[in-house]
Amino acid sequence: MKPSPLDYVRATSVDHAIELLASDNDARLLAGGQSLMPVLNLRLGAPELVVDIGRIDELRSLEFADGDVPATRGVLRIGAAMTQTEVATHPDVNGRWPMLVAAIAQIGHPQIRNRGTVCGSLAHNDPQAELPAVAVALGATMIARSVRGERSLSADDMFHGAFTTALEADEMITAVEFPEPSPEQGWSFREFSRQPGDFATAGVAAVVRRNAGSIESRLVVFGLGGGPTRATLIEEALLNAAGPDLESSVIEQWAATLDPVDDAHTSARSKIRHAQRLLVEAVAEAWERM
Amino acid sequence: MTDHREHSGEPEGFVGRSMPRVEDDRLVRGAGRFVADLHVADALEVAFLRSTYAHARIVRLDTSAARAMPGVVAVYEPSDVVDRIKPLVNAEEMRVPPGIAELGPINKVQPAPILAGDEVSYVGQPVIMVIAESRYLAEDAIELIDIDYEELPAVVDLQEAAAPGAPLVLCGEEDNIGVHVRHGKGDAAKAIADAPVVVHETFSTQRYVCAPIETRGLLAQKDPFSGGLTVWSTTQTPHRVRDHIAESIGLRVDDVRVQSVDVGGGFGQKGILIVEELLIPFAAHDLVRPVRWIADRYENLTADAHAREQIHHITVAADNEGHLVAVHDRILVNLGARNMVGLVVPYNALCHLLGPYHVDNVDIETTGVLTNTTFTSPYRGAGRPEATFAMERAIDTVAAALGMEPAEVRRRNLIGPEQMPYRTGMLDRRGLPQEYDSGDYPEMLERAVAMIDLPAVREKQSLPGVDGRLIGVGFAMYLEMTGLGPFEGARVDVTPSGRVRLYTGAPSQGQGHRTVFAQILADALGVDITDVDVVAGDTATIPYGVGTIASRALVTAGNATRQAGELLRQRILDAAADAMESSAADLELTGGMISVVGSPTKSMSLAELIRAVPKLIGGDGSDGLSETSYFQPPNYATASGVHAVVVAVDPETGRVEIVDYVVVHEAGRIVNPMIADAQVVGGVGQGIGGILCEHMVYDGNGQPVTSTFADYAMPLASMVPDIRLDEIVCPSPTNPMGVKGLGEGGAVGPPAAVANAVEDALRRAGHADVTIRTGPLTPSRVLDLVAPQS
Amino acid sequence: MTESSNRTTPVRRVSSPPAAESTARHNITVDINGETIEAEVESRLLLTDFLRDRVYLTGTHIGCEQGSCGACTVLLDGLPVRSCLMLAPQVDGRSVRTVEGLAAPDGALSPMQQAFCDHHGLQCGFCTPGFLMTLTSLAERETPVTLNELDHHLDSSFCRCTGYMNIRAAARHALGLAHVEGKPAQGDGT
Repeated sequence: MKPSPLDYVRATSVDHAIELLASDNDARLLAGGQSLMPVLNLRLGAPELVVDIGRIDELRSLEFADGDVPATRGVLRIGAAMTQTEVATHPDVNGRWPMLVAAIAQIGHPQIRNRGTVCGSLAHNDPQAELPAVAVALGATMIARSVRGERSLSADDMFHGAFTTALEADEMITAVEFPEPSPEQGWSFREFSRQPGDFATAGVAAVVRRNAGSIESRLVVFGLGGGPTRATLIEEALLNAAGPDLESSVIEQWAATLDPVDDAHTSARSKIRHAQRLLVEAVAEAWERM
Repeated sequence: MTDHREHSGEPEGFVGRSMPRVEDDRLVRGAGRFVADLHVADALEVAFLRSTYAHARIVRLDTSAARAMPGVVAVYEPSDVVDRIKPLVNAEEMRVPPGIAELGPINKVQPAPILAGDEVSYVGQPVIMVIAESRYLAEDAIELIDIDYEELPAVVDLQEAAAPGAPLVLCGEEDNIGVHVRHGKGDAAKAIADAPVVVHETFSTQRYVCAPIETRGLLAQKDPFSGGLTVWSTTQTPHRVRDHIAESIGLRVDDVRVQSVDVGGGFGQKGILIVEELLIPFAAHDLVRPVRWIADRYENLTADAHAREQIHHITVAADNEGHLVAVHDRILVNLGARNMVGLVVPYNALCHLLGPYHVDNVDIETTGVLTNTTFTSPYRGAGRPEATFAMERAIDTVAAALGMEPAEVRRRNLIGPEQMPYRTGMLDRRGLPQEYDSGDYPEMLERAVAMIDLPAVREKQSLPGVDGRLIGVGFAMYLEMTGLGPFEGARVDVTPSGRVRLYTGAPSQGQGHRTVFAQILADALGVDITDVDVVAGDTATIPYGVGTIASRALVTAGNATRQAGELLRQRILDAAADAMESSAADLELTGGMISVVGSPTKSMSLAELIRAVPKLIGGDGSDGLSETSYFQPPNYATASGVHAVVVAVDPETGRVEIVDYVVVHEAGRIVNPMIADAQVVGGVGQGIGGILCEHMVYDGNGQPVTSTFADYAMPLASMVPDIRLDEIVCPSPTNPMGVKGLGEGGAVGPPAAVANAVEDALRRAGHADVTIRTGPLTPSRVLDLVAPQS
Repeated sequence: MTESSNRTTPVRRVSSPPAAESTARHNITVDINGETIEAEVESRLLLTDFLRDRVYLTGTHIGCEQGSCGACTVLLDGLPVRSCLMLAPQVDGRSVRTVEGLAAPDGALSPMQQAFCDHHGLQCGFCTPGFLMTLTSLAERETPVTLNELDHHLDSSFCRCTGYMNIRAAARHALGLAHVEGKPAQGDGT
C-alpha cells in the first residue's frame, strides 16, 4: 500500500517545525521515519502534513556536558535528528553509556537504526521498544518545545500507556539528556525477541547502586503491553538485600501484577515467564557490575 | 556441502555438471525484469476494495465519489463484470480422473465470482476494482467508496466448520464439505483390533503462506495490430492463464499471449489462477489501455492463496517388533472459502501418507472443508509435508510405545530396493495403480543415521548438558511422486545467427531453467552451452504447455527438450548432408560445428548451415531447422528423502536451535548438482520456517491477524543452519533421462523431523508426557509445553 | 561515486508526478549512482517508487513496504537503509546508491556480486539486490567485519528461495571470512 495524500515540508529550524505543528492539527513529525513510515504506508494514519525534522542543524548534535572534575557525572544530550547508529557508534557514548548502546543494538536491523532516531523512539513509545525503558532506567530528561515554550519532562513523567506520552500534540522533543551513570552503578539490559530484529516479547532495563547502606534500583520492564513499567515490588525487595538473589515468593508476587495478553505468537503466560527470567538475570548481572 | 556425493567420473557432456547459472549476471546487476519492472507508456494501476468481513452480504454500494475523483479512469463494480467475465474455475486442478471417480468422491465445483456481488465469504475477497493513473490514486479512490455489509454467521475453525450444524460458509450450499474421498486396502479395522500396539493421535499442520518475496502481479496490454492481449505475468502456468483469460473474456486462445517474465518465487501460490488474473486483462481489453496490478504484501498475505492447514486423526497399529500392520487416518483439509483446487492437496496427502513404508491395511478418509478464510492452494509439497508430519510423528509415537529407537522402527518397515518397481495397492493421483518406480530407502536411512551420528547424539543426551539446553534428534522420511503429466513441450530452433533457442511452457521462478535446460539441449544437439538460449513460459512461442508446478518441470520439459534436441540434431545432419554433398551418416555435430567424421577440415557452422538451408536445391520445403516435441510421462518418477536433525531446546526461553541438519535424498539422475542441492536446501529452509515460526493466524471473527511481515514470521538466516547433504541415485525408468523432480522434496521433511527432534529432547529431559501435535514450535509454544499450566 | 573532474557531470531530469496528484510537489536533486538526477516529486512518493518508476532503476525491489523484508535496501550516503521507509523529497541533496551502481564502470561485477554468482547465492534473484546492498556496506567498510556482524546483517533481509546457506557462503567469501572458524547463525550449538 501507499501513503494517503499528505504534504511534506522539510523544516529548516526548530522554530519552523513547531510553527508548523501549531498551525496544523493534523501534522506529524518525521525524524527517522522507521515507525511513522510503516503507519503511513499501511494507511493506518493519514496526516495532512508531514514535517521532516531530520535535517535541522540544531537537532543534529551529540553533546557531552562534562563537569570540571573528572568524577563529576556528565550528561549526554542527544539531538532529535541523531540516528540510533550515530549515537551507538560514538566512542564516548560506548564507553560511558553502555546500557544505551546495548539497547540500541537490539533495535530492529542495521538499516532501521541507520535511519531511526533515539528521540523518535521515545516520542513514539511503542510498548515493545527498548529506548523508553532505558530512559526510565537511566533517569533521562526529554526537552520538549512548542510555540508555547520549552519544558523538561522526566522519563518518569513522560511515558504513559502504549503509544501515549506526556507530549502535547503541538510539542516536539528536541533532545534527550541521559545523565552519566555513576561508576558504582551496575546495569543490565536484557530482552527476548522471537527473531533477531523483532520487537521485544519482553525486556528489562535495570540499574542498581548502593546508597547509604541500601540498594537503590530502577528495574524497568517493557514489552508486556503498556509503556515501560518499573518493578517496584522488586525494587523494594532489593533495598536491604545482601545479594542479587530474589526470593521466589517476591517474584511470584510481582509477576501476579503483570497483565499481558495473548498475541498471535506468544501466550500471556510465556510473556510472564520471559519477564520473570529476564528480571532475575538482569538483577544478577547488574549486581555483578555494581 | 555434499558429504558423500557419488562420483561416477566426470560427466562427458554438460548434464551432470554444476554449470554456473546463466540467469545470475542480469539478476545481480539489478537488470532482471520482473513484472513490476516493466514500464509501458500510459499504464494504469489497480487497487481493489476487498471485503473486511469474513462472511457478509453487501447491502449498499456507492462508488460515485470514487468515479469522480481526478486520476480515476474506471471503477468496476460486481454488476459491471458479472455478464462479461465468466466465474473462475481452476478446471485442470478440479478434474477428477476416472479411477478416482470410482471411489465415489465429492468434489464440488464452486466457481469464484469475479467480483463479489452479493455475498462475501472471506476477508480480502475482491469486491470493486479501481483503475487509476497510479496505485496511490487508486488507493485514494478506494477510500471514497461507500459500502455497507450485513454480517452473516462465519466459521473459521476447521473442526467446527466440519461439524454438523455449523454455519454455512457459502450461502446456498448444503454443507461446508467441498471435497471428500476415502480410499484404502486390506482391513484396517480388523488389523487395528488385533494388533498389540495401537497408537492414536491427532497431528495437525497450521496454516501458512507461500509468501514469495515477489508478490503476484500482471501487466496486460491490448495489441493494436491483432486486437488481442499481451499479458506479462508472475504465473507458474502461463498456458493455463492464457486459456482461462481467453475463455473467460471471450477471446480466441491465439489472441492472448501470456509471458512469464522474471519471476520472484512461486512455490505454488502462483500456480493457481485467482480472479485478479482475469480482471486485469479484461480491464486492459475493455479500456484499451495497459493495466498493471502488483499485489502488495497485505494482499499477498490476506487475499492470495494460503496453504497447509490440515488435521490428521491418525491411528497406527504395529506388532511387537515394530512392524506396521495398519494405518487409519481421518484427514481434514481447510480449503478456505471455496473449493479452488479440488482433490490436489487432499488426495496428495492421502496417497503420500504411507511414504516409503509397507503397510497392508490402510483406511484413509480425507475431507476438504470450507471455512470463511482465504482460499488455499498447493504449497511446495502440496499435502505431503502435512501427511509426512502425521505419519512420521505417528512412527515416533509407535517407537515410544515399544521403547524402540525411532530409526529402527522406520528401518523395519521400509520397502526394499529389490521390491522396485513397487505397487502400493492404492490408486495414485491419476487414479491408476500407484507404483514407485525406483529408490533405495534403506540405504538412505542408513546414511542419514551415520551422518547425524545417532549413537553420538544418544551418548551426549545421557550426559549432563553444558548450557542447560536439551538435545534431541529426529528423523523424517518421505517420498514424492514427481513429474506430473500430462505433458510438457519443447520447441528447438536454430536461429539465423546460428544459435539454438529452446522454447518451453515451463517457466522458472528461480529454479534455473535457463541453465538446466540449456545443459540438456547442448548435450542432445552437440553444441556449446553458451550457444543455447532458453525462453520458458511465453505462450507465443509454443502453443501448448502446462507449467512449473508439482516437481514436474525437469521430468516433463527436460525430457521434451532432449527429445526435441535429438530430432533437431538429425534434421541438422540431414540438411548439412545436402549442403555439404555428403551423407548424414558421415557427419557429426560437435561444439556447434558440423564436420565429416575423420576429416575435421571439411566442416560448416550452424550459422552457415541455417543460411544455406532455404537455398538448398531439393530441400524438403522447410525453411528452417526447428523441431517440436512433447513428452508425456508414463508414470510418476518417485523421488524420496530422509531428513535427520539435531536440535537444542532452551527450556528457559523455549527457543529451538537447529544444531545439525542432514538430508539424504534420491532424485534420479542429477542435471546440475549445484542447482539440485540448492533446491533441496531452499526447501528445507521453508520447511524449517513452517515448523519453527510461520503461522497465518485468524481471530475468531475471521479477521486475519498476521497480515503484514511484521506479524507473519518468516524464517531468517540465523534460523536455518548450513544443511549437510548426501544423495543416492536411482535413475527413473519412467523417462529417457532417468530424472526425477526435486523442487518440493526439501520442504516435505522438516516439520516432522524437527518436531520429532524437539519431542525427543523434551521427553529425554524428563518431560515424558509431552506430545507435539502441531506447529509452529515458537518459543512460546515450547515454553508452554515444558511448563504446563499449574 | 562522483564523476571524475574532467568530465561534465550529466544532469538528468526525470518525469513528473501524474497530473491528478494533488499533494505538494518538490524539486529535488539527488546523486544516484554517480549521476545527478533532477526531478519534481509529489510529497508522498516513496523513495522506492521514485527510483523504480521515475528513474527506472528497477533493481530496487518492493517486498513489503513496511521495512521488514529488506528487498528495497539501498545505500544512503553510504549506509544501508530501507528505501520503502523514506519519502522521495527526503533525499534531496543526498547520495543514493542502488544495485545498478555496484558494478565497475567497465561492467565488471563487484566482488560481492561475483561471489553471489560463484556460490549460487540467488535463485529467483528478487531479494538479491537488498542483500547485495547491505553486504556491500560491510565489504566497503574500513574496519574488519566479524562473523557475528555478518550473521546479524544476514538476518536483516528475507530470502524465500535459498534457505540462506549459499548467501552466507557468498558473503563469507567476499568478506574474507570463508576460513574463519565458527558456526553460522545462532551460535555454538551444543
